Amino acid sequence: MKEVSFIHCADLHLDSPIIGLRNLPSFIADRLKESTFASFSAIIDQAIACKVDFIIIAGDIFDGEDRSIRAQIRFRKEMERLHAHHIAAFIIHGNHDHLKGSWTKIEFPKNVYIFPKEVTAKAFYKGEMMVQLYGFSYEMRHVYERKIEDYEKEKTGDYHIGILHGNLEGTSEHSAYAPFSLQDLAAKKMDYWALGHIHKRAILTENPLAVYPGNIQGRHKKEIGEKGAYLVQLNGMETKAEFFSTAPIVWKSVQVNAKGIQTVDELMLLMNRMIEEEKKTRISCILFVEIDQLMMEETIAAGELLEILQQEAVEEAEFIWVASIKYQENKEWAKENLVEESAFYKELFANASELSIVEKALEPLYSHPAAHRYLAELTEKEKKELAIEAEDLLIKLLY
Amino acid sequence: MKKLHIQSITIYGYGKLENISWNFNQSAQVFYGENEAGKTTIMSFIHSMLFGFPSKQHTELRYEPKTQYKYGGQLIACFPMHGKAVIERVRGKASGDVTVVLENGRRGQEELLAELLQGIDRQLYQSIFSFNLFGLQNVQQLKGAELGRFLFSTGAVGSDRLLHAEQELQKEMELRFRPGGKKPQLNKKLAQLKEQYQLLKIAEKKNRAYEQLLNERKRIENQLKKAEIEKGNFQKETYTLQEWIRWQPLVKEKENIERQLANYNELAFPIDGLIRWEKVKDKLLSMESAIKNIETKMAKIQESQGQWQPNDRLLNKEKEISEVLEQFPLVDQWISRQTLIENQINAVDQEIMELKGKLHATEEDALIKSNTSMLLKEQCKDASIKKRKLMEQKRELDHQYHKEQTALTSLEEQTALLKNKLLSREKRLGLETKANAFSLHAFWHEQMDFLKKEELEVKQQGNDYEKKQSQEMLQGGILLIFLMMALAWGFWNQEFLFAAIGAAASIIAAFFLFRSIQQARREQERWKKRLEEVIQNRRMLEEKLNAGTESEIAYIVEKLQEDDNNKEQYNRCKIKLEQQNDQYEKVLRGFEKWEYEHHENTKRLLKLANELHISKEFANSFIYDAFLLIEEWKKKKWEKDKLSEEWNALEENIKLFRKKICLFYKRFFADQTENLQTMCFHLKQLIKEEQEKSVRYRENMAKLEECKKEREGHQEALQVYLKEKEQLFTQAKAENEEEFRKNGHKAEERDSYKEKLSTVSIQLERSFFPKERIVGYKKIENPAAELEKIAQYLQGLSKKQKKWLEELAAINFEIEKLETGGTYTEILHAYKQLKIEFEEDGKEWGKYAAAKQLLAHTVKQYKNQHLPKMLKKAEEYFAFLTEGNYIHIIPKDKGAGFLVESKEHLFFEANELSQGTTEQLYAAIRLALVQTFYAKYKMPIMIDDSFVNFDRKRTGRVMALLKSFQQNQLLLFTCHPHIAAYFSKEEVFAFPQQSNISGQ
Repeated sequence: MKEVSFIHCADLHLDSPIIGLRNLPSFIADRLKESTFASFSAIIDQAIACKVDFIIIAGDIFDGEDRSIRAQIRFRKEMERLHAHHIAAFIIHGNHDHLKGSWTKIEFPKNVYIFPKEVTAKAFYKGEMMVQLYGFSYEMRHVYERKIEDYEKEKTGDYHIGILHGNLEGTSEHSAYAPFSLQDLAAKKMDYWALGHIHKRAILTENPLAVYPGNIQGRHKKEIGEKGAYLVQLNGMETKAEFFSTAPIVWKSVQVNAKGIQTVDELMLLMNRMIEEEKKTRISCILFVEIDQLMMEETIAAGELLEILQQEAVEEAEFIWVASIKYQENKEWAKENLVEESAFYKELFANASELSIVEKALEPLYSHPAAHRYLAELTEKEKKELAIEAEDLLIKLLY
Repeated sequence: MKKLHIQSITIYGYGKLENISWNFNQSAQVFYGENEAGKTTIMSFIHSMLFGFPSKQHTELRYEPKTQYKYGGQLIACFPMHGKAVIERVRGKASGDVTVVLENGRRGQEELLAELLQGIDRQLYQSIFSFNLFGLQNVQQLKGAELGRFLFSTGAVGSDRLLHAEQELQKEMELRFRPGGKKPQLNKKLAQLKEQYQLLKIAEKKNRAYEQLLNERKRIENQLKKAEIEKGNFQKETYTLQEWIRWQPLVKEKENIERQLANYNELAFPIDGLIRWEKVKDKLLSMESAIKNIETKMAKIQESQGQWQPNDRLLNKEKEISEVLEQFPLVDQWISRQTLIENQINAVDQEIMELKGKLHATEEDALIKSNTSMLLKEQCKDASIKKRKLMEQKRELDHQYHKEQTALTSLEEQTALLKNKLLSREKRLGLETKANAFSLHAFWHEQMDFLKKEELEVKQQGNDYEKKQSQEMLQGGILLIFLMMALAWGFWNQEFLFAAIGAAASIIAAFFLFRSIQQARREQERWKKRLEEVIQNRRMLEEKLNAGTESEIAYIVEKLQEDDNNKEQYNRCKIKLEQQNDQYEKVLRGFEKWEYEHHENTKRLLKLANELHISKEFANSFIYDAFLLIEEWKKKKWEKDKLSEEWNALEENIKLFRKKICLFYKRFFADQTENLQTMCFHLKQLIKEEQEKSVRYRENMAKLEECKKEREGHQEALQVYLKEKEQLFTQAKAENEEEFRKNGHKAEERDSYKEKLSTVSIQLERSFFPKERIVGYKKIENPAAELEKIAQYLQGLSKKQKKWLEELAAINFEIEKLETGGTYTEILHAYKQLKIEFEEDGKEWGKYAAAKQLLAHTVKQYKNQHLPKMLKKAEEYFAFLTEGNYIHIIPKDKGAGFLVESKEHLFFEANELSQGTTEQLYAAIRLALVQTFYAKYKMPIMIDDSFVNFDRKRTGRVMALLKSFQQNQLLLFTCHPHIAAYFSKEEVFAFPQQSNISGQ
């Protein structure tokens, strides 16, 4: 029986800054800084332990312009480890670490094969068995062509594996690089599609098995949940892809029902209980807490509560860090009342959906000659969010 | 569209008004009264009913009744959405306690009232719907911006809340960011960010330098490598030079030797020629002498060979002669054998003679004829045994006969003797009887004793019985007497039953007594009889015992025993005698049988004697012996014949042998001798000698052959050596030995040179100095100087290397730093964190900014959209009121008030207008507000004597305008009859109503 096993990972974003967390104690900050490397190292450990034939990295090894030499050197070290165990590595570059980048080029050991900018087939031999791997690297940051069309299955080979860093058509959340459709994937008759680009892990189709392994370490609060890679086994009969978690730190959002909580002490107790519960998972965690149905006579500002909880964080092998606390408030009711009260409010709230007002409001900062270069231009979505927040703020102030 | 219509008001007590009510049936109602009639009180009352009593802090009057009348009243109104409602407000908390009852029965307090009023409060109501002269006169104070605020303050929100919110937002914003500021959060962060960015740029530059560093490192490494190679080369060169200096003399010597050797180029001499020549010479000499020796030896052998010539004639016959001679020892044996046989024959003859004597036979022929078969031998043996047996039997029979006869006679005598000793018959009988009687005595004594005992017993028993009898009789008698007495007592007392029983018992007792007496008597008789019998028996026995004495009896017994013994002996003798007789007769019969057998045997013996040809007498007694002797004789005879035969054969052999020997002897020996032994000895000797000779001869021949072969071998070898000699000489180009030797010595000299050369060569070989470079090095004039030069260069190179290494270390350190990348990553991460924080904070700021903007925008929009609308309406009304004198109202951009455009297109400020016109402007704006901004509320318009400064025409116009407002109930309070005159009588309530106004 001809069997081949490999590990499929993508979007390593090595040494990518983990940002957006404030007041972090240094031990957590240090751990976060190391987390992408730690996760990747764990993947390599797994590859060596499972004695896989090769590993596939489907793009975005580095985080772009921030590709530090350290990251590259450490990546090369991992590749050397694979080399020492005779495990090949098939790599494509994605939009983040495209070929035209101005970074220092580092040489890799012989086991590493990096696909060129055109879709290319590369044969891998294991005894009599031959595996054909197809892929391409991003030449520049923006590749909008339908590269999928260039994938042509070779006549020879026991298995065919497509490696593609791109976006599934119809999902608008992400930059639509190298788009493809499920029909495309099916039409190419590959045994396995090793995809990359989307940071949320997903199995697109079972036949052929097409997998987004997601990135290997959550880096902000949108990249929640377990992160890792897939161990894939092909044996002619079936294709098996098994996820394994390697991220040393998991981002998580937690909802807490605070119904019946009357005092601050009780609320603190509830929070601590929640943290204890999280500790049971034995994985370091960064928590975003939403508190529902909080109707207390005493009040404590969310920020204050957060501060208390953060002060309680202790250095442990598995730490729990509460990054934010949000009270879920019912603003609709107040809004309705205000609208009823006056046409002015109606107009006010109607204006809240006018993004031009938001834009204008932001101008002093976002067009500030010194400041604007450090500020990413806000997306529509962000502006909308901002408008909603502004509206909430007004309701709070006016009601 | 329905409007809020107040249907009636009832005042319980409010100010000076008490217990008074009005019904408002018309859409417009005028309260006409003089001053202090209470118009303002009513107006205040309506306000209070709807919005609560004015609080104590309020500028407005509370109109609490000075009298004891209760405070408050009732208002019935029809609301556009909810229909009719009864509102009652009385004294209670500050604003009073209000009760609202709707037509549908719903009741409520302030909340319900607020709901009915759609959130309009006193402030708003007074700002828009209710006005007085004072309000109208204030119009010139309005500023453009303030008008807006006025609009809001008189509008839904209330300027305070908006203002407050706006200020709050402004404060929050400024706390976070001011475009030109330094202290706010974002400004501070921006500064940090800038700084961090600079750091990052520097770090990046360093990163970019990484590649250069790598190149530099490669370059230096290459240089180092090259230097290393160069150094190696020079070191090698140094070494070579040093070697050269060491080996140079040797090289020179080698060349010298080579030159010498060149002189011997012509010389040809075989290798090891001299030694080889010596050897060949030796060999040649030895070979020659060996050949000479062998030839002498051969001559000697040939010489001796003559005397060892063997006799061939004899040797040819040798085998035959030897065969005969071998038989010679047998001849002696044969002769001695003959002597032995002769002796044996003599012995046999002797024995034959002896046998003849024993047999008494002379005629040998007859004996030879006699039958000596085995059958006959057996018959003879039988007959002989039979004869002996018969003789035995006869002796036995004789003996028996004598014995039987004597025994018989003795027995007869014994029998007769015993017969005489026996008793006669009668005598014996008498004795027997006597003896028998005596034998019974003991028995009789016993019987006597028994009888005596029995007699005593019987007597005793008889006595016992008698005693017992008399006792029973006594008892019976007593019982009888007692019974008789009882009977008598019965009779006496006339107890007849008792007497009868007693009588019966007495009779029975008497009967039993009688019977026992009788029985006793019979028993006694029986005892007596038995006693008599016993006594009689005893007497008889006593008689018997008394017959015969003891001694007599003893004699008799003895006699009888003796007789018995005799009788027995006699009978036994008689039987023995009979037996003896039988025995005797048996012996007699044995004799007869013997006689017959003896006769038969004698006959058979005779027959056998005939067969054996012996005399009858002899046969009769010794038939078997005779047979044996004859047999022996015959055997001996045969033996003798056999021996004679053997002797003759031996004799023959001896004669033949002798003949042969004589023949051979005669042939080889001249002298004659008859002695067989001598002849044989000589012959044997001769053969032996000849044989020896022959052997010696053959040996010598072989030796000769050997010598010949040896000589040939030597000669061949000689040839070889000669050839070699020739060769050697030719090779050395020598004519003779002398010349050869000379050449040899020269060759030795050459060889010694060669050896030296090879030693030098080996030494040179051993040096690692490369040969191919010798030529080049020979050219170097001063190697030591060269060496020095190289050393100097190397030193320089080492210095350079050291420098490069230091550089390399520095670069490596730099690379290492970049590769571990702590600084860059840290800066990058810090920058990124700062940036995201900046972005987040920016967003947070943006939230406030947006909120503020939103608020400001809406306010502006409100102004820009609604104010012109309102102003247009106001213009319309103003133009109407001024009969078209003024056509436009324009709010001033800055500063207070409005600009008014006249129909002549002249612009006036509000304060430039006349008092009346100003008031008309105000009224126009107010009414425009009612019709535009607050059109949806449809509240009653209340005007308190505001048109006093209007001329008649304009008053009429304002009335017409007011009346045209179908959407609002109009409540007008005036003290001017001309104003009241604009309304019908139903519409006017004249003040004070006499009945209602009391105490004023």
